[in-house]
Amino acid sequence: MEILKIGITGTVGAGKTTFVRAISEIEVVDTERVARDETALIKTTTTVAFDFGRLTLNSGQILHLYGTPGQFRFDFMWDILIPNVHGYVFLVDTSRPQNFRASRRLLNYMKQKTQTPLIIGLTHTDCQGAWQPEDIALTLGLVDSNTRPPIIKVNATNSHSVAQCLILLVEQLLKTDFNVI
Amino acid sequence: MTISGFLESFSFPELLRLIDLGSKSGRLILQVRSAPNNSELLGLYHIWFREGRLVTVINRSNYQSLIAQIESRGWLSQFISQKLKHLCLPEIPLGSYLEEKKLLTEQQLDSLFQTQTAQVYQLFEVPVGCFLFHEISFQSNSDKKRRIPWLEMTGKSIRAIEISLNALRLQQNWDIFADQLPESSYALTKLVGQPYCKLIPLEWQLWELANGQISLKAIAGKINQPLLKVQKAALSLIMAGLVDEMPIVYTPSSTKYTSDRVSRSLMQISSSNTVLTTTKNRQRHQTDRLNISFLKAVVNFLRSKFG
Ligand SMILES: Nc1nc2c(ncn2[C@@H]2O[C@H](COP(=O)(O)OP(=O)(O)OP(=O)(O)O)[C@@H](O)[C@H]2O)c(=O)[nH]1
Ligand SMILES: [Mg+2]
Repeated sequence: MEILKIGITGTVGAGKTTFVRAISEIEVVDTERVARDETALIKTTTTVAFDFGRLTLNSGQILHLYGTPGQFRFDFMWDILIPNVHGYVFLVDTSRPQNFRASRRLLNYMKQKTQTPLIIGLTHTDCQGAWQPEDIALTLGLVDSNTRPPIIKVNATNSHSVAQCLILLVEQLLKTDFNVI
Repeated sequence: MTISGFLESFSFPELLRLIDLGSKSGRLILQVRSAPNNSELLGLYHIWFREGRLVTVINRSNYQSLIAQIESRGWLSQFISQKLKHLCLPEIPLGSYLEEKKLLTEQQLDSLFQTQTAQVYQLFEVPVGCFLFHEISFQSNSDKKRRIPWLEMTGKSIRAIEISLNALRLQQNWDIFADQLPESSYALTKLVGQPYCKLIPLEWQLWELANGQISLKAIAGKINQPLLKVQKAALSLIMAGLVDEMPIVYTPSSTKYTSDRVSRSLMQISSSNTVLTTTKNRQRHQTDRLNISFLKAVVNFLRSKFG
């Protein structure tokens, strides 16, 4: 059995759950709970455990998607997720500048913990006040355009767009030969 | 290209950091207010940057031209300043032109530039407002609406992030940045090899301990300083682009508590045993290596199914 495991991460409301639901062939286990604290200002419910999604190519080849909770405690969740995925999509809501610094902090943390290939997925680019990819890259601290991970616009509510984003990640895996034989 | 937003959600020092990191040129329009639901304008500023450096500040709500400022200091006769207003300058700052003509000294230009930047330092004390940044090239700019204000420039400049460092050192009202202070459990990591400017002793101590491992709380203990003071200095260094905050990697000491929560969480995900393995089993499982042919099959599958 061959399984490709992909993590979907990002700050609160970036679109992780929507991303996994857009493409999963199974109903995504609902771990949404009523949001509290600062999160409640952004949305009414938030993910409290992993969103698990699956796509079956055939009896021997499967794709797994793991969407993380957006409220970070930098705790055990990350310790399980990070060493076990082959690559991850880091989602950023481009219309919410108040979250950019938290995104940078999370990205710093991920990059420190792992060399696992990643791509940056920019969501909410259709929303008012959305920032341009270059400015998002700079606020994330990705100053050098030659060494930064690939950046792609993605509409998490659209399965075609989500598929394009996953294809880019897989192409990145093929390029980096991290964990590839 | 434009960037717009509210200071409440993207603070002034963060904005300066972005302009500096991106070596951006253009005009930042800043409208400041005393409170979010107060419609009264405290000020309207046009701040110009050239390749990430601040070159001039124009106070639109209380406008006094650079020429008028020079005149009021008695540094130029009325005759010359009248002539200057109608002079068609080549594309250089007024200050550089006057210095070249030996009409003003470098010290005088420094003093004028300091008066301009002093207005920017005050903006760090303002809690709310909105901003709009237009990227504008300083090379052969023909757009009349966005004409480069050469007559308002002294020829002096300062890095945008250096302004933040200077301003935050003098900051009185920390309420504005209270929710931006890095958490006490975070460490700092260096972003550059060497600081680009002189640091004060406390900043040096933080700089030397910025190794991604020691939390701010531990640093405060080590150097015997109040935690809040350390957090404030850390924020200055972050906004100055010298270091960044880094959540420290968590290594569970009590594995029992952790693995209980882990297994509960995993049960929520799926009952199959092919999902993520727990930290405990990591050594045995490791991430399975992937075949190129498998990855190519995934790409083809995604293309055909969601094409
Ligand atoms: N317009 C627009 N809406 C989007 C996009 N991506 C996601 N959304 C919406 O954003 C909202 C938040 O999405 P979620 O999927 O719940 O976000 P999340 O990252 O799982 O949030 P947490 O679990 O709380 O961290 C939902 O209403 C989505 O429909 C996008 O690209 N454009
Ligand atoms: Mg979610």
